[in-house]
Amino acid sequence: MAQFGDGFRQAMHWTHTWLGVVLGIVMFAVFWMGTLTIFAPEIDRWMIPETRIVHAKREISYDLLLSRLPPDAASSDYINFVVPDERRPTIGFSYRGADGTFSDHELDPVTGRPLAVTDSRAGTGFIYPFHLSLTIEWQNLGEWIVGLAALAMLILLISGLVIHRKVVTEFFVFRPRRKARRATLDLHNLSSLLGLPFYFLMPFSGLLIFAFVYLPWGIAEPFGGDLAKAAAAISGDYDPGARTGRAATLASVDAMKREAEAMWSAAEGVPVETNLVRILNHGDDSAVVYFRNTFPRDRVVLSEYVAVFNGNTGQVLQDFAKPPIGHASSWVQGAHFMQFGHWPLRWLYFIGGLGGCVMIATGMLFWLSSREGKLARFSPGHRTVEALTIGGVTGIIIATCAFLVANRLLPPGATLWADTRAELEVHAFWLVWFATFLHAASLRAQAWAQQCWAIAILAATAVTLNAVTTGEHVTAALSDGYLAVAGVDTVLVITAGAAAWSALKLRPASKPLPVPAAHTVE
Amino acid sequence: MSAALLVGAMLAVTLGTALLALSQQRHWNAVMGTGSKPGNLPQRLGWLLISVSLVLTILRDGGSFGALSWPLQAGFGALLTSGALTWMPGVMKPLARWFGR
Repeated sequence: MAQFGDGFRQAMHWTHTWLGVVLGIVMFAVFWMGTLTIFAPEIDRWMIPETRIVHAKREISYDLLLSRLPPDAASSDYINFVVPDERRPTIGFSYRGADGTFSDHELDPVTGRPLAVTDSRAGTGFIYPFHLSLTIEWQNLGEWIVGLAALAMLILLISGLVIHRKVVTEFFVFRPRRKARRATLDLHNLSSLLGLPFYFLMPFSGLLIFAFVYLPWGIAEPFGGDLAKAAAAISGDYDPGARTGRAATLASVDAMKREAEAMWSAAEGVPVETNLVRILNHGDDSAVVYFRNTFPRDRVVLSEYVAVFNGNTGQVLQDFAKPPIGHASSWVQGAHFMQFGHWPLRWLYFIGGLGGCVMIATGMLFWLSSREGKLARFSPGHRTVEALTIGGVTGIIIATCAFLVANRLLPPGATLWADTRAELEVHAFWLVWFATFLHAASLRAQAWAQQCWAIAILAATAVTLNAVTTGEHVTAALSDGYLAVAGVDTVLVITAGAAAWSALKLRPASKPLPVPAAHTVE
Repeated sequence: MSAALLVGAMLAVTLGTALLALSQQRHWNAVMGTGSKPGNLPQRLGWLLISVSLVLTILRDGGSFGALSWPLQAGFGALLTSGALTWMPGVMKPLARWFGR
């Protein structure tokens, strides 16, 4: 029996090691970007300075906004307004043009006029999608890779618990003065145990949210294999059908919105407001108006009330509330989306996310350090993992800082070949990230310290550039009420300090072993 | 009231994890030196304080938020305890003196 136990533990050890080595970089990238996504709207305010507006509760007339539609939006089959809140103070406005392309705008919440904003994908448009798909859209490949990494993380957590022999007696133990290998393992164990429930919840809830991608057949089966029908039944999607070609005037959207909110508030017992106003087939007699309340501020559970109105008569076509199967997963999904208004919990999530990054990074470092001083470290496999680990850990942090610096350096309207300014920022991210892998491959262990210096310099540069280009340094931002900007700057300053401290402390793990001399057989 | 409950919960969970750590001979020795033992009280009181922090969190946030925030608070409290044991074990001496024998 004892032999069986040891064999099982060995099997778990093998699984833990190799899943970590193979998928560690993807897990780190997803966890790093997921941690930043917690503050994606705040990063938006930092990267798009024109949207730094102190939010105040205002009545917004969507009838007025619709009366000012651009000419190519007047016959759009899809017009979307995102209602502003304290974290997203502008009115989000997007529509699909006749050629099928989307136009996105930010409207001033006071005047309703379009703001001339910095062209940037920022947090919501780049960091958030990177976290869920690595921005690889082809055949949902990115979502599958991230899903695989999430599944691997669950397996790693369980296998890690099995192979950790002293969970209780070494729960609080961290010995930084011992050998690097021991200290790395201590930090790996400590960071794993302290955030364990959080680390289970995040990949599990992520997999649940993307069940439509990972398990489409099972979800569609009760609906005759039609995934669109399943989506409509679960989330209240509404298809108005094709345009009829008969022109018609839209009834008052403001009146419909009031009616939708009154219906929801009566059902909920507390005031419920709409997050989203959508007009489908605008200007046609098949037009419908769609309102949604998804992210309540005062609880974890998503609400997902949907009300659909006939656009011409203003009559209710569909009063949708989540079915029981939707409620069953709403808490788990809400815990992952984290759109609620609980700031202490938001910061705890951020700390938990950074703890997850430490856990993953130290796991990969331990694999490397356990081969220090051995000939194995000269093998191509080891060198590859080393370069991938350095580029995957410090490299992605450098690339993120470079993304912010590029945002402040690129002039308005910058283009290169056919790429827009926003695309150039993203290119800067990828180019710098790629360069960190090359740097790591050429300098090996010495690259750690240099890349930490690069993080420190870039983070400090980003803060300086923000102050120079917008005038909103930390104290100015605080006095103007731009907490988001002050918060991002403060985190960048802390990052710069921590990276500089790490760079000073870091030394190459050991002197390289002499390469065995080749012998000629005579 | 809300802020007081949050601070109370954080203090309780940090003290609770500190007492749980002190209930282990290894950490007790690191703080108090060899020659004395922690006894059973730190462990019992540690669990009690951790339970108190759970109650305070649920009183403040309710069960839905509490289920998310309490494990993270407990992890943060344990992180502070671990940091103190690693770099400043002396700061836990006043706490340990209550329980030495």
